[in-house]
Amino acid sequence: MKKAFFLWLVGLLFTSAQLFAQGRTVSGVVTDADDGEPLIGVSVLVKGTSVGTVTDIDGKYSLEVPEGGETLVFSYVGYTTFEAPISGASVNVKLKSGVELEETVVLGYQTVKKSDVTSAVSTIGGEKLENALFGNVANSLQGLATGVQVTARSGAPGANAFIRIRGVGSYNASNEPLFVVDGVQVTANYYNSLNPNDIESINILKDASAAAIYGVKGGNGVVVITTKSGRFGQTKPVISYTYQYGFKERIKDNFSIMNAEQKLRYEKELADLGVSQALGTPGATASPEELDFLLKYARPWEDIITQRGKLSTHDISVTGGGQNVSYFMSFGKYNEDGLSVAGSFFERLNARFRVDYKAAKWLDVGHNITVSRTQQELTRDRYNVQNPFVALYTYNPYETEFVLDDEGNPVLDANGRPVYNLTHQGFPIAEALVNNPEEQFRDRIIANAYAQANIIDGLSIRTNIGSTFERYRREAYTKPGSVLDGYVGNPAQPGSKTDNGYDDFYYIWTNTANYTKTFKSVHNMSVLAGTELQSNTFDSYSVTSRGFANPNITTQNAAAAIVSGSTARTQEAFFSLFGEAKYNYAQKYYGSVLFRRDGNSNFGSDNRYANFWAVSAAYNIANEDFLKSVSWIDQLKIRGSVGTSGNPTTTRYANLGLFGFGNYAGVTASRPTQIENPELRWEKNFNYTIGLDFGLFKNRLSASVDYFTRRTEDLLLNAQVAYESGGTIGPAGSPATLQNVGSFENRGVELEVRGVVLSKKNVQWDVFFQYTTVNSEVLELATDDDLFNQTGITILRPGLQLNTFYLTRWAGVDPATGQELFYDKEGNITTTYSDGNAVALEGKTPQPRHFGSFGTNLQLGNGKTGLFDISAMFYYALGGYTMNYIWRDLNSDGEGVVSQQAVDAFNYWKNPGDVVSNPRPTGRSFSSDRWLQKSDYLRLRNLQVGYTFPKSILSKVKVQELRLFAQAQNLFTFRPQFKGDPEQGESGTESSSPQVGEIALYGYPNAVGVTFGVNIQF
Amino acid sequence: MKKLFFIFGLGATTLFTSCKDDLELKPFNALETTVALQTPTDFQNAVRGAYGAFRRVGYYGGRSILFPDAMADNLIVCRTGRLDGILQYEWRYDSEVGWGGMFLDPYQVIARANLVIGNIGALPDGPTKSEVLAEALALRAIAHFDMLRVFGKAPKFATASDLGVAYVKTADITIKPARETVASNMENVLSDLLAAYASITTSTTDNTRLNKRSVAGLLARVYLYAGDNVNAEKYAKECIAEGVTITPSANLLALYQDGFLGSILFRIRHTDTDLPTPAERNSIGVQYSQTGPSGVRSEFVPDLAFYNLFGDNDLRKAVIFSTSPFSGKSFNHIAKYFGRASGTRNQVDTKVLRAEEVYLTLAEALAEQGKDGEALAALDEIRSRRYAGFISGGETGVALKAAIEEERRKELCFEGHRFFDLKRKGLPAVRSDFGDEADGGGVPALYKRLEASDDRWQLPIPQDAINANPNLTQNPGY
Repeated sequence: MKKAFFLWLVGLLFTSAQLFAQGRTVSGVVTDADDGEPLIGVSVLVKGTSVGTVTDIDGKYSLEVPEGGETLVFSYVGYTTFEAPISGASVNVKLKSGVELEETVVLGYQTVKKSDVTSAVSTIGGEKLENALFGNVANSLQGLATGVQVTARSGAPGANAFIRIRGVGSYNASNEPLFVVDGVQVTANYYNSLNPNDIESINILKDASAAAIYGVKGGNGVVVITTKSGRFGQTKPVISYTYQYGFKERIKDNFSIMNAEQKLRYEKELADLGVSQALGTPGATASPEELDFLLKYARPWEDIITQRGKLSTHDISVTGGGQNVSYFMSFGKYNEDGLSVAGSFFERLNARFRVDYKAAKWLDVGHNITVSRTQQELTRDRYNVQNPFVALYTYNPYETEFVLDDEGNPVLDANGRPVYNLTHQGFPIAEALVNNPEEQFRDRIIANAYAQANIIDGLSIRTNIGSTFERYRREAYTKPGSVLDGYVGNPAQPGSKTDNGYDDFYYIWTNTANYTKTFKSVHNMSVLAGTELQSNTFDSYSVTSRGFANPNITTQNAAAAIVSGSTARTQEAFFSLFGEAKYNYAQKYYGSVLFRRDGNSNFGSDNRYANFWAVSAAYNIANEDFLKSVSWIDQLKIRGSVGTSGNPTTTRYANLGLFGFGNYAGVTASRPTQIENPELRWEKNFNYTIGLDFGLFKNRLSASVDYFTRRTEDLLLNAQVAYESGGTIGPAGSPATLQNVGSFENRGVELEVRGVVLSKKNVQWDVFFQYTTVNSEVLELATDDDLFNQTGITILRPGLQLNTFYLTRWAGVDPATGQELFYDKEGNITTTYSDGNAVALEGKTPQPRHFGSFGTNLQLGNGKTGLFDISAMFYYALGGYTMNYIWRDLNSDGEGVVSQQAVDAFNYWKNPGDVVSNPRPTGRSFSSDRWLQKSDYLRLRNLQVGYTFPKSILSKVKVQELRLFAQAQNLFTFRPQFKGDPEQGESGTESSSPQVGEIALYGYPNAVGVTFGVNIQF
Repeated sequence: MKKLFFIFGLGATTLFTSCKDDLELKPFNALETTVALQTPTDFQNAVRGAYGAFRRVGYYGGRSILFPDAMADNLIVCRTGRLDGILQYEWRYDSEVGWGGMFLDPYQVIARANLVIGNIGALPDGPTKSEVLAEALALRAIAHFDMLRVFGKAPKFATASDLGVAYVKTADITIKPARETVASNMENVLSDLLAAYASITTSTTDNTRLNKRSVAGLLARVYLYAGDNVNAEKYAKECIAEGVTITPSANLLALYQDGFLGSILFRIRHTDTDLPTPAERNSIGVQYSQTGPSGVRSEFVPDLAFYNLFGDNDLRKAVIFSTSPFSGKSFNHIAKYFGRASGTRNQVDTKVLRAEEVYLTLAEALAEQGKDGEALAALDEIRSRRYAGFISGGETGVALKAAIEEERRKELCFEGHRFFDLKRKGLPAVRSDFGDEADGGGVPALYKRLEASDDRWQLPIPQDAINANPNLTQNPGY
C-alpha cells in the first residue's frame, strides 16, 4: 500500500518536473557509414519524448531538445537504429546499413529472445508474405518453414490451404494447427481473412515445449501471428501504397484429351468391340453426314468453360507514433476473377487499426481491430457436371455449347436467346454458371484489447480480452427458367432460392502474470502464470423459397411460397489454467517447465479436464568461454524437449447420446443422431524433439536440424461400425461413431540450411534449402480389424504407415487375351476382379514422405544507387501417392465411353502379343492400384523480380521509396509420374471427404499466376 | 492505488471465472437419449422416425422402385440418358458397384424400430404401447424381408445353409453379426409380423403407417414368397376383409399422382419438406426420367415387348406411359413417376402395398392350390377395372396361372416387384431384341438373359459393409 502510494507520488513528481523543463537546440548531419553520403529523411527523436524531426536533402537536422533529454535516436529504413548521447550542440552520426536487431520470437503468452529459445520454432518474417498471389495467409506459407507441409485446398479464388505441422496428427479432431493472432485464438476462417501485408511476423511452434502452453489446442502445433504495429517516436507518419495486377491460368495437363475426330473414332471402335455403353454413341450410330456436321462445329470445351483469371490488389497503410502512442492502420482490397467463365470470384476488403498506448509509467493499454468482408462466388465441387471442372473432362468434344440448327446456327428460344445444349449429361454447365449463381459473404472481426500493469521491476500482470465474430451469408439462386429448375423445381412455382448463414461469436479472456528477474547477473529466470476462459456460440439459419416471377427478382419476400426454413445453435466452452518457469545460467544452460490444465464442454464430466506439461533444456555452447576464441563459430546450440499437448474434438456435445428431430409425413419424428460415448477422451500428443542450431563464418553459413517424434494417443476417429448395427450415418455415408481408437506416431527430421554466397557492398546473394521427412506408423488400435478411412481405400493397421492405401492390385494386361489381370490376396494372378482381394499397399500413403523448398535471393545495388532484386523458390514433395480418379475416368475401358476420354485410351489391347497399358475395353472399369499414382513434384513456386528506385531521385519528389516488381507463381511444375496436377488438396468435397492428397477428383484446379506491381512510400 | 485496484479487480474476476462452471453445455436441437423415450408422444415420434428411414435413396426413396424392374425384363436402358444404373441393369455388378444402399438403409429402419422395441418398457400398458410395439415389430420384419429378397436366395429354393442376412433385434452399435440362414430369416420375419398382427388394432385409413389390414397384406406377401399358399390365401383374405378398395379405372392417373389413396394400403410419404434433408428427402421419379426444357429425358424406358403387352383397351397404358421425343428420337417414357399434378417434379409417394397386389397374391395362392374358380374371381376383380369392355377369359389351370402372372407384371410394374417375382418362381429374366426407341429401333439390350440358376439373382454384399464387419461373408460368385 505504502509502496504503491510512493510510486504514484514519484510518478506525479516526475510528470510535474517535465512541465518546467527548459529547451536547447541541437543540430547535425547524418551520413551513410559506408560511403559518407548524406541520408535523407532519417527520423531523429529525443529519447523518451515525442520531440523529433527528419533530416533534409543534405542529411541535416535541427531540433529543440527539452530539459532532461540526453539521447537522440536515429532511425532509418534499412539501417541500424543508432542512439547518440547529446554531447553538445552538434551531434553528427554515421548510420550503418543493414538491420542487426536482436531477433525475438513471440511464443504466444510471452516474447523471448531468439537466442534463448529452447524449443523448435520457425520464424517467418512478414516480408515473405507481402504481395502474395493468394487471398489468404495459409497458401503463402508453403515452403517457408521446415516441418510445415502446406497443400492448397484448391485453386478456387480465395480458397485456403491445409497446413500440417510435423505430419498428420489426427482424424476426426482437426489437423489444422492453432492460430493465435495477437493473443486471440482463431480458426482458419479468421486468419485467412487477414491481409498478409498486415503481418509483422509468424512464429510456428512445432514441438511440445512451445505448444504445450496452449494445452488441448496445441497438438497440431501453433502458428503465432503478430500483426504490424506502429513505432513509438516515429512522429512522421509513413504512408505506403501497393498495387498489383495480374493473371492466372490453369496449370496445363501433362496429357491430352480427345478431339472430336478422335472421340468419334474411339466410340466406333468400342461399339465394334461390343462394348454396351458405346452402342448408342454418335460415333457408332451417326450417318457420315451427321459425323461431318459434328466435326464441323466442334469447339474445345476448355474455350467455352474456362477463361484467363484476373487478379488485382490495393494496399494502403499509415503508421507512426508519438512518445506514448503508436498506431498502424491499413486498408486492403483483393480481387480475383477465377478460371471458370462465370461463377468463381473472390473479393476481400479489409481494414485494420492498432493502437498501443503508454497510459502511465506502470500501465500499457492498447487495442487492435481487424474488420474484413469477403465476397465469393463458388463453383460446385461435386463429382458431376454441375462442377465445371468435371464438365471439362466429361462433355464430348463434338458436343456444342448451344443447340444448332441444320445450318449450324444456334437455335433461339422464344425470347431470342440461344438454347443451351444439354449434352449427353443432360446438364449444360455453361448455362448453370450464369443461371444458378451462388454467392457467399463473410464479415469478420478480430479484435482484442489489453491492459498491462508493470507492478514492480520485472513483474507485470496483463489482461487481454479478444473476440472474433463472423457473419456468414450464402445466397444460392436457381433462376426460374433455368435447366436445373426444370429438373428439380416445381413448374407451378418456378425458380428457387436459398439464403443461409450463421453468426459465429467467440471470446477469449486471458489473464497472465509474468515475473522476470536476473540474480547475480547470471541467474536469469522468469515465471508465468495465467488463466483463460473461452466461449463460442454458433447460430445458423437457412430459408428456401420457390416461385419467382422473374430472374431479376432475387429476394425471398417476392417468392410464391417458403419451402423450408430452419435455425440451429451450438455452444462450446473452455476453461484453462497454465504456468511456466524458465531459467538459464549465463545464457549457456537453459531449462524450462510448463503446465496447463484444460477443461472443455465437449466431453463427459469424468473426462472433461486434462493436464498437459512439457520440459525443455538447451545448451548454448557458443556462449562458453572456450568457444569464444573460436572465431568461425558464431552460434552453436543443442536443445531438447519433451511434452504433451492435445486436440479437442470438433464434434460438439460429443459424449452425449442424442435424439434429433425431423418429420415423417408432415408430422414430428425423432431418430438417434449420435450414439452415447461417456468414455470419450481427449486426443493427446506426446512429443520429443532434439535440435541443433549453428552459425559459422560470421553466420555466412547457418543451419538448424531437428529430430522429432510425435505420438498421438487416444486418436479420435469417426470409426466405421457394422452396417447391421444401424448406427448413425457418418460423413462417409455409412454408419460410424466417434471413438478413441488407438495411437500412432510420426517421426521425422527437419533440416534448414542458409548460406550467404556473397555479401558485398552492392551485392547480397544468399541461398537456402529446407528439407523435412516424416514417417508415420500406427502403433495400436482398439479393435483387431483394420480401420477404414471414409473413402474406403486407405486404412489404419498397426505396424503400417498412417493411411496406407488398401486396394486390389493390378497385374497389367494379358498380352495373349487383352484381359485385365489382378492379384488375389495371396498374390496369384487372376482375371476375376474382386474388391475382396484388396490388400494394404505397404509404404504407399497420401502424405509425401519428403518435402521442402530451396531457392535463392539476390540483391544488386543499394538504396542510393537503386536496388535490383530477384528471388526464386522451388517447392518439392516426394514419396506420396494419390488415387487418380480423373485418370480412371479418362481411361475407363469403355465404362465411360459416352463421356470424354484421354487420347491414351486408344492405347488398348488389340491383337495377341500387344503389350499395352489398357486392356481390351469391356465397359467396366475397376478400382485398383492401376490408378494409384506417385504424386512427386517439383514446382517453381515463386519467382520475383524487383527494382527499387534510388533515393536521390525520389527525394526530389518527396517520395521515400518506390519499387516496381513482377512475380510469377507455379510457373513450372515437374511431375514425372502423376497425370494432372499432383498438388491435390480437396476435391469432390460435396460427395466425399478424403484425406489430403488421397484422391484426385476434379477439385478446382491450381493456377499459374503472373502479376506486376508497384509499391510507393511517402 | 489505481494499480492496486487493477490487481485486485483482475484477481477477483479471474477467481470468479474459474469458479463458474461454464463447461456443462447441452445441445439446443436434440434430446439426450436417456430422456428422449419416456412418454407416449416420444414413442410415437420415434416410430415415425423409423418410417422416415424408408425414405432413404438406396431403399424406398429411389433404388427400390427402379432396380427390381431394371434388373428384370420390364425395362431397357435409354441411350439418351446418363446410363446411370447400366451395370445393375446388365447384371454386371460386383462388391464395388451393386445395390449397396439396400444393405445400409433397411438397417437404419431396423435400428430405429429396435430402439422403440427395446425401450417399450418405459410406457405403461395400454393401447399406445401395444400399437407402437406392433408397428415397430412389423417395420423390423419388412426391412429384413426386403433385404432378404435382394441378398438371399428365394425361400422356396434356398437350402438349409443358404445365407440371408443378420436378423438384428437390438440397437447396439458394437455388434458385428454373421449372416443367418434364409430359413432363419423367414422364421424371424413371420414371427415379428405375426406378433405385430396379433396386437395391432388400428384400421385407420392413414396408410402412411402400418395398420391391421396392411400387416395382413404384408403377411400374405411373405407367405406367398415362402410358397405357403394356404397362409398367403388366409392373410390376403383377412386383409381384404378389413376393407380395401381396388383403384377404379377413372382414378388410375390420380393413383400415380397421389390424388387417389383409396387402394393404397401402405405408402412411404415423400414431401418437399421432409426432414432430415437430404438423406430422407427424395424425388423418387428421377430414377426414371427428368423433364427439362428439351422434353422428357429418360434413364430407362419399357422394353417394347413388355410395352406391347398393354393392349389398346388396357386403361393403364395411357397412364403408365407417355410417348414423346427427346433429342430427335421418340421414346416411351414411364409416366408413372412424372410427379403429382402440382408440386416438385418427379415427386410422388412410394406405393409399398396396394389392394391390387393383395388380390393378385390371393389369386396366385388360390391358383397354386388348384382353386381355379376362386382364383379367377380374384383376378377378375382387377381385370374388370383395367380393360375397356372387359370380358373374363375364364382361364383355368396353366393358362390361369399365366394370366395371373401377366396381370401382376403389368399392374405392379415399376413398383419394385418384377425381379423378385421371377426369382421366387425360379424363372429367368429374358429381354427382347427391341431397341430403346418407341418403335423398337435404337440400341437393343446387349445383355438379354439372366438364367434362373445364376448367382447374380443374389446381389453382392457391398465391400464397405464387409470391411466394417469382417464376420460378414460375401455371396457366391463375387
